[in-house]
Amino acid sequence: MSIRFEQVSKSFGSKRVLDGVSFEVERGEILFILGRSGMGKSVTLKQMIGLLKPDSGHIYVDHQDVTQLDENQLARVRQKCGMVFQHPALLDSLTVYENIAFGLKTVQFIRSAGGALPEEEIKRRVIEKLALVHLGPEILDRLPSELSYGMQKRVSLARTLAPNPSYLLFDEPTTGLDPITTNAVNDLIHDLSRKLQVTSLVVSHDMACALKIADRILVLDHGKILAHTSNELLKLSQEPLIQDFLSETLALLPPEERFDSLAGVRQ
Amino acid sequence: MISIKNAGKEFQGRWIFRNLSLEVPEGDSVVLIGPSGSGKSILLKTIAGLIAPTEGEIQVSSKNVGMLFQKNALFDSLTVEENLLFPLREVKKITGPPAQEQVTRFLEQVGLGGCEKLFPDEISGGMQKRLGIARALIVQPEVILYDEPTAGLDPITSKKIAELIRKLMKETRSTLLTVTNDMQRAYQIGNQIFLLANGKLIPGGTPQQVQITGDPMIRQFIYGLKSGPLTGGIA
Repeated sequence: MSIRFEQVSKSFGSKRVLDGVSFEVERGEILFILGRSGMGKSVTLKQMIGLLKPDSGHIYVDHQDVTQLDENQLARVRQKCGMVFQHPALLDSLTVYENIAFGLKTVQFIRSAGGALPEEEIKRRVIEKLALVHLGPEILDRLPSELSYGMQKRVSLARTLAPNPSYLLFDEPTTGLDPITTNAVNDLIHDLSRKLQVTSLVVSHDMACALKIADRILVLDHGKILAHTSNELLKLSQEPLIQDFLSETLALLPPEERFDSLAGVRQ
Repeated sequence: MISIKNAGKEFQGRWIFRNLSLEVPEGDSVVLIGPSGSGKSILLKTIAGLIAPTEGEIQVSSKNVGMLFQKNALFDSLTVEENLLFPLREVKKITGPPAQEQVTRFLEQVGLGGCEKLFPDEISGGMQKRLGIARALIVQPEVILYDEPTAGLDPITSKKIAELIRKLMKETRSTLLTVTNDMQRAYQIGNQIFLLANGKLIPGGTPQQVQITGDPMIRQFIYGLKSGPLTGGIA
């Protein structure tokens, strides 16, 4: 067990977004957090790294209660947890190299690494992380505007990987992408998680993606956990909301794959 | 009605698309799908008159064209209701209690009832999208261009929004052209589906026809297959 939420509650004004939520995330697993818009999914991720504080409850990351930490201590948690936002958010005026190397040159990183990394080491890491996202060193000198959106997403992922985080937090990684890029990004998340043996949390609307790569799926609804289980068991859920989510994914599969993959889902 | 004849758009020596022809009959709903960067949004903007085509002819039967932009383009400094009162006042010259009543009704329809006094940055991304839709529709346009109407929305809200789009289309007998990456919504909203890829428009047919298509490009796209004619290398 590496992450534990204990009775976490959070409200925005009169809107109760998380209501006494408790769950655990196993080391090395890929957990998808699904739910309707505004149901607390992103809030869950942001609370893990102290961008938001819960109104009550505790959140343990590697046995440390992040709700009790000060900014310095939180900085160390943020080193461990690499967050990948929905949009690439690369720095426009920096090259691909400079964008990826950025996280290796911050005061926090240098402090936690016990000193600044030599430039050759930084370059080695940058090229290594680019290769992990299937991109080559020929793009190092390019600016973000010279890359396709799909490539920008990969570069931003490489940037997150540079400090070698042990957790990867994805906030809607495939939202708005076309079907081909969606599957490519989804596969990449799976490959990286396994290869790097990191724990991945993916906040998403995409049940099809979840069914393809998640170890477990957590479904949030109206502040509460509707389900927290493996893909196989989720397909058997009788909850109307989950059944709706599942039947939506059927049409996204080629006709020959449909019946087998989601047998048991009412058509 | 939208009529596009041999349209082409070139930016700095690069042709985004060329010799594109498409007819959207009055009251029909056409959906455009295609890889990012294929020119779908640019095509919509040329129809809306925001960009001039480099060549070709574009005719739209009505001046009352509504557009939903990809990033909503809401007025950040106006409240939710002010964002809707604005086009009512400027385009339809409706103000006062009748305007307020329409605003309340549209907000209810897109599930934003009670959010009148909030600012766009105080509502979630999905709610902002719904506000963008309400704003495009409140002037009751005859031709509506939707650029990714359900991007960022969860499947259930997406389905509801698509139902709303269809319902309003039937009620007002408007003509729709929708760009989307969400195949579920493409099937729900469109009578005809076209793929825009590599500068060409490929007809896919009805939602039923497109799902059993033999065309390798369309098949690769709608099922998100890794290898095929659309991907030379990495997506």
